[in-house]
Formats: sequence, structure tokens, C-alpha cells
Amino acid sequence: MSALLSVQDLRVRFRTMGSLKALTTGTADPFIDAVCGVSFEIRKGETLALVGESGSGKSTIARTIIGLQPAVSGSIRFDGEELIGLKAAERKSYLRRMTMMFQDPVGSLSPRLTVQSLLTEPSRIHGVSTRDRGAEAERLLRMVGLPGDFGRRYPHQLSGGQARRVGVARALALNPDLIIADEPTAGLDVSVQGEVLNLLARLQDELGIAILIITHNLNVVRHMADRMAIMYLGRIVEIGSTEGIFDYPRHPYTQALLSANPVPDPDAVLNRIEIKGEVPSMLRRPSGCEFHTRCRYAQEICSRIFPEPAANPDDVEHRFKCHFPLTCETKVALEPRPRIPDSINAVSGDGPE
Amino acid sequence: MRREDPTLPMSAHPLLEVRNLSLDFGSPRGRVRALRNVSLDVPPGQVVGIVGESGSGKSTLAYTVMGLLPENAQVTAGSIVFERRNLLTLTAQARRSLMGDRLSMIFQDPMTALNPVRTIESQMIDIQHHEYSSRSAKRSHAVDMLKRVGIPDPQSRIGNYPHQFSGGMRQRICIAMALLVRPALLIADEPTTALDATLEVQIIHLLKDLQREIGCSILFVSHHLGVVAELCDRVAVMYAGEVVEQGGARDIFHRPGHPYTRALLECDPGRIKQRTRNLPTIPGEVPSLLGTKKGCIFRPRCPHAFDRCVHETPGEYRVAADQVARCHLLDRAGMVAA
Amino acid sequence: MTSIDTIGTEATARHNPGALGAFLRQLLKNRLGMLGAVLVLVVVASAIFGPLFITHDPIRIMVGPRLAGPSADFLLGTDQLGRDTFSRTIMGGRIPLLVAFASLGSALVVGLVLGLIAGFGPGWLDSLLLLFFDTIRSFPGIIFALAIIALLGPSMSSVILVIAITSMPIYARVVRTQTQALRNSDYIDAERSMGASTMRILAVHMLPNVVGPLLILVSMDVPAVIAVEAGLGFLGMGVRPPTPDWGAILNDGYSYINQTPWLVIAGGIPIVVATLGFTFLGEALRDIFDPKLRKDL
Repeated sequence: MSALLSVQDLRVRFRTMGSLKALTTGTADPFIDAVCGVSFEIRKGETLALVGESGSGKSTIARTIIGLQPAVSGSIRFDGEELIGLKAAERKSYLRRMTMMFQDPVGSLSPRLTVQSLLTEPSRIHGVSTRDRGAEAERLLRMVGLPGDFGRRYPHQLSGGQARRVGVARALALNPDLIIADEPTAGLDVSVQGEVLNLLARLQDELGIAILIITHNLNVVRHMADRMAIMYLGRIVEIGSTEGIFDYPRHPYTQALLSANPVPDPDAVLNRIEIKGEVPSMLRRPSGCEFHTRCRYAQEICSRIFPEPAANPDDVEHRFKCHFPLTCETKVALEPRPRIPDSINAVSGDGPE
Repeated sequence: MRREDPTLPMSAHPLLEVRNLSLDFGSPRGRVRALRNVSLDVPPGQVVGIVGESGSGKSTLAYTVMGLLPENAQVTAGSIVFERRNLLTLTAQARRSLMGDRLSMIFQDPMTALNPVRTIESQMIDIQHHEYSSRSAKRSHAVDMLKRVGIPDPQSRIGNYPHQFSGGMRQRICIAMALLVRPALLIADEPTTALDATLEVQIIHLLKDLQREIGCSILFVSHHLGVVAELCDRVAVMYAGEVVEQGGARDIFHRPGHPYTRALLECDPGRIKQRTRNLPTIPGEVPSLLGTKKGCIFRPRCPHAFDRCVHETPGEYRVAADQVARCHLLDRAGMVAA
Repeated sequence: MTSIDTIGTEATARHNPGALGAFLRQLLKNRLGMLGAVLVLVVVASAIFGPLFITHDPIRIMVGPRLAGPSADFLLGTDQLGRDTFSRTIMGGRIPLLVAFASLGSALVVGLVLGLIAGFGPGWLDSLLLLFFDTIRSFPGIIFALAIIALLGPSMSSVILVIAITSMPIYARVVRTQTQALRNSDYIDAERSMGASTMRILAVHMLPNVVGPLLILVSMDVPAVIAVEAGLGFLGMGVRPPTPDWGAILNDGYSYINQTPWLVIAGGIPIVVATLGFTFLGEALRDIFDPKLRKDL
């Protein structure tokens, strides 16, 4: 099956200081690699989640795909066409077919435009003639389950959930093939998060859109994504089907990330793998496997040699980069299970520490 | 593994006792009734969680206890008794002497809570102004505390400025500063919201350990049900300015009495293990708190609402030995009014 | 998101588009602002509709006795050349107001354009423009004014030019700062991700969001310009006689203050009224739209 979006060996660098300062301080390389050697594919109608903590480079990848950030090397192919190196005018036609939703639901809407103008903005930018802008806005509003008279409102008059729906409607305005959703549930209450995810799922089923979700929220990933990629310090450390990874994570970082997901049950027994320390700075990227400074399975080789990608024997699509991948023996039950049945009186809690 | 001791029935004197607290915000469009008839106890040595969504008033409650309210806020009724003294009637000076001594607070954004132009050292020494000890003793006390919260190489890093630390480290420093004076009550307003998941669990662990060590109480404000379940002994659920349900954490999470608590727990995607394309939600919007409201505040979104909910504001009904909820359904079920 | 936050956002959300009605309501509540608005209206209306009120030709010499006190015929008396002071005062507001609006208006337009370019353009252009702004600002204002007038001669257009050139960098810097704060906001990124052109982003999405604070700043500069223009007129560096002008009237009155106080009063009061009016109005605008905005540069 052909890929709708194919990213190969993508590398994005940020300047850390001006060239003058670099010269005076004698810094030979005033750059950091925000994204290094990232490859993945998204097929038509599929959902891929890029998962990682802040500073893992996941948002940078999204911004590079959409053209807000230049790439140093690598390739981004959309429907077979190379996007890297395109001029703004040439790129514009692809921006009809892939759209991006930004993190802040209200802040990503231009504050002085009405919802109707916001929704018809894409067709105005791309010179698509719409006979009746009001009717077009109403069609989009209905699609995302908002009343038609919302067209007259301004962004600040919307709640977070409503603004997010407007964002979804705007992303859908020109019938794209791919939506890039950067933290689609950020800043939303749990009761509203479900609404937004259900909406995205429904629209995907109806319209057959592919979705690239950028998130740190594993609960979002579990319900939305067909496949997921886990990022650490600008690299994908593990990629595969969502179920495969949740059931059987091979990379120790994935395992730690999956276990760091508190569940609303005071009696849950957590086999939590707490990783020590914090994500290292990209300025001081560790040698070898970047995770070795925090990895509890790390050995001498990990600090010297970057692990080659390997695949799961029974699922070749499930790939990871680790010298000592978790095996069935080291795999521990991540799913918290209730320790005390509900029927036992709460007062009898004994709790050995 | 993490539940420690049974939540005992109210001890004779809770450390913090909020009684029938009501608070309004003045706004150009009228009075916003941000807190209505809120009662809450924090027993000594326990972690009490306040959960709720945006606009539930959970942070307002925390800020009211700390006396950190904006000018347009006005307490219209009730009392906040801390160590048998009403914080609301205390003189400004008496109140100040409590702050940073018996009471301290950590905030959501660790950057804004630290003074950016002063070193951690000077800030941590300053905060011990209630103590009569030498500067070097205060400094070594500060270094010990930094070490305790997991700052590597505290001896040299104490001289650094806040921006030289990462977000997680800064929150650790804030915790160290808040607990340096061994307060009786620590108020934590969404302290892990700005942090990544792996750091979040580290901080929760740290808070739990330090709480046990120092023996203080924590009033922990969060929207994250999982975090609250993991850390708290008691839980108060807030909705649109009211505490709709409170009780022992285990009761609340296993046998919620209020329809809102139930709905909120059902929504939490962390609870739904089976992959689904149709997650549960709470239909409707949080009501505007402008002006006076009649009846149950959750009624417009409640699937079980009936006539009485329109006319009468529900009082507290006892659900279990140590669990109360404000819902008329509990009256119908033959519960005794608390 | 707590209710404390929500209250805060509600307060700032007043600064929004379809809120003209809300703005007027706010202004009605602000007593000083209302007073300012009334004073400004009086001054502006008398300057525009002046010819309908005046009783005598303001530049005709010897319509009455010299340096006379108020009478039924000459409401504010006459000056040393026997011209009607009331008519001169009414018409004398035209020059200061014209100077203020022309100079600040052109400074506003140029400052807006240069500020947007500096704030949104590449870094080197920003540095270059900043250098330009700072160069202008580094000249002492009065010396600069005197130099221009010495070069071009005392006339209304030189005064306008001086004020426009010296005010422009301030406006440009405010616009630049605002633009820089907004250029990385999510909604500007969102527009770029949809393929919007730079022109469209600047005109449709940037401009309406930076122009508000700028207008407040400009309205607060009007009284200063009126005072400067009057000062130049007083020093004889402004418009040439016999054109009526508040500063010139004040100068005449100063020379003959021993004979009659009426000229000083006639020249001074309108300056005070206009300055106070614009100051109150400007402060009210600032308080309503942006309580945090101070003249910070």
C-alpha cells in the first residue's frame, strides 16, 4: 500500500547562538539537532501518533512537514512528491491537502476574525470561489456539531472545546487528505477531551483522512492511533502498532513512559518503572544510545555505540533501537490491577508500604 | 502499596476547617459567585485532594486559604479556621507570620514562583526569616533540603539562578523552599500540570515521601484524577463553585455518590483500557456563575435530574461513614441527611 | 484554568472587536474620560465650525479699539491691533489641531509600516531599522526642531515635519514590539500553515492587533503636540502672522499683560482646555483598552 506521507532520514537543526558569537567564543558548531534521522510513513486514512516528552522534537517534525521550519537534510514526500526544497508558492498547493491544528485551541484562531471568517479563510487563501461564505461556514460548523449561528462569534467568546471544534472545522474546510494535530486535547478538560477525540474519529471514518497526532498523552494515543512512534531527544526509539507497543514495549524508555500514567484508582498496584533524572539537554547529547544515562538496563556498550534499528520477530512493522530490548521475561505487567475488590470496606485498608 | 492508613472519621480538630465559605468576584457584567457554601476539612497529616474541571473554583479555594486573592474578590460568608484561628478575620500581620511558616504553597508554574534575579541560595535563606539561627546554619539547612528533593550537587548549585535549572528541577526547588520551614499545611496548586509524565510521577513520589517525613498535611489541587488517586487520602470533588462530594479517596473512586463524580470518573480515558472510537463525555457546558442560581448546579447536565433538582439546592447527604455528597437522589434512596 | 484566570481573561477580553457598545458604556462610567471627550468635542467642533460662530474677521485690523476689554460686540475684547480676540481664539484652534492631526497621523502611518517590517522581517532588517529609529531619537527634540525651522523657515509645514519625524520612531518601536510578540503566536503559525501570504498575514491578522495600543499612544501625544505648537507660536517660530494661533495670541497677550489680562486668558484657556481634554480622553482609552499599557519603551 502506498504511503500518503513518507518522511525519510529527516534532520532539523536549530541555531543556538548568532554566527558572530560562535566565532568569538570559538564554537565550531553553533547548532543543535532537534530532529535527527527520523523516518516514518503514514498511509491513507491511517492515524499515526508521535509520542514523546517536551523537547523530544515531535512538534518540530510537524512544523517541518507543514513548512514552518526548514529541514537540513532528508526527504518529506507527500503523495510521492518531494516537499523539501519547494518554494513557498509551489508548496502552497500541498497546504490544501494537508492541514495542521495547533496546540492552543483559542490561541490558534485569529482573535479579530469571526468564526465565519476563520472557517472561510482557507478558501480565501487558496482562491477557491465559494458562492455563499455563510452557507459554507454553516456546513462546516454542522459537520463538527456546532450550531450554525456560531459563525457570528469571536474566538474569545468560545470555550476551549468549542474553539477546538472550530479548529477542526477549519482544518477540514478544503477536504484535506492529511491532518496534523498537535496536542489536540491540550488545555481541555477530560469531559471535553472525549468529545474532541470522538469527533476526530468520526470524521476520519466518514472522510477517510489520515491523521498525524503529536501528543504526550498516552490515553489519546491508545484510543486514536493505529500506529505509534516514541521519540526521545529527536529520534524515534520505537515504532509499531499501538496495540503491539502497549502490550509489549521493547524499548526501556517506552516501558517507563507507559508506566508513568497514573490511573484514577487508589488501590491500583503499579509496577511503575520510574526513570531517574530528566531528559538531557540537546546541547549535551549523550554519546551512544541517548537514553543510556537514565536507563536501568544500560551497559558499557550503550554509552559507546548507537544501537541499530531492529524489528520484532513476529511483527516486522514493530521496530526499535536498543542493544538490550525488553524480552518477555523482563516484560512486567504494566496494567495496574485492583488490589482490593470493590466490596471490601474502605476502612479495612492495610497498605504495606 | 501506596494507600497507607485508613481514613479515620474526623478527628476532633482538623488542621484546616473551611466552613460554608462563599466568595464572589466583581466583574463588569455582575457578580460571579465563584465559591458557594464550601465546607472542607484537612485533618492533620493527611493529603486532601481537590479535583475539578476548569472553572470549578478549586484554585480559587486554595488561593483563598492562602489569602492570595485579586482585588475584585470578596468573601461573602463563612470561615477558614487554621489551627483554631480564623484566617479571614486575622490581622494582616498575624496572617503574614503564618505564611511561609505554618502555611506554605507551591504553584503550577515553578518559574513565576521564584524570583528570577536572585540566587536560589538567597531566596532559601530569606524564607527562613522566622528562624533565629545563623546565616551559615540556614544555608546548610537549605543545602540539605535541596539534596532531599533530589537536586544533584546542591552545595554548588545553590548559588545558581532559577533560569539555570530545568522545569522539573525548578519545581523540586519550589517544593524544597515550601517544606524548608516544616509547615503544618502545604497547599499545592496543580504542581505537576506543567511537567512531563515521567517527571510528574517523580514529583508525586517526592511529595508523598516528604509529607510522610515531615508529617504535614497537603491540600492538593489538581484536575488529574489519576494523580489525585495516587497521592491523596481524602478527596473533594468540585463543580462550578461547589464541593459536590467529598470523602475518603477509596470511597470516592470506588463508590462515587454524586452523578458528576461518576461522570467525571467515566470520562477519564486512563480508566478505559479497551480501545474505543467512542469515549464517554459529559454533554453540555459548565454553567455561568453570574448571579444567583436556584436548584442543583449540575442539573442541566445531569442524566438523573428530576423536578426537585430544579427548585431546591441539594444539601449534604451521607453516602458512607466518611463520605458526603450534594444530590437529591441520595435523599430518595433513603439516606439520612448529614 | 481557574476562575481566577477566567476573571482575568474576561477583563482583558473587553479589548475585542464587536465591542463598540461595550466601549461606550465603559467610557460613560469613566467620569474624567467623559469630561475629556466633551472638551475634545467642543475644541474640535469650534475649530471645524468656527467660521459659523465668529463675529468679526479674525485678521482684519482695527475692527474695534485697541486692547479693549470684553463688550457685547467684542466678547473677549480686542488685541493691540484692534482685532477681535474671540474670533481669533476660535480660529486659532485650527492650526494647533491641524498640526497635531497631520503630524501624528503621518507619524502613525509611517511608524506602523516600518514597525511591522521591523517586527516581521528578517533580523538584519530589524537591526537596521532599529538603528535608524534610535538615531532619530538621539537628537535632542528642541535643537532638532530649531534646526529644521532654521533650514526650512518658520511655517506650519516645518512644525508638522518636525513633530512627525520625532514621534515616528516611538510608534514604530511600539508596533515592532507588538509584532514580535505576535509573530510566533499559534494563530499566525496557523495562517502560515494554511499558505497565507506575508502581506495577508500582516494586513488581516497583524495590523488589527497592533493598531489598538498605538491609537492610545497617539491620543495621549495630541496634547503634547498642541503645547509644542503653542510654544513655537509663542516663540515666534510657528505660523506667520497674521494667521490666528493660540500660541501667537498668548505671545501678544504676554507683551501687553500690563495693559490687559484678556489676551493671555483668551490664548491660554483654550490651550488648557484642549490639553486637558485630550489627556483625560487618552488616559480613559488606555484604562479601558489596556490597563497594563504604560508608555514603556
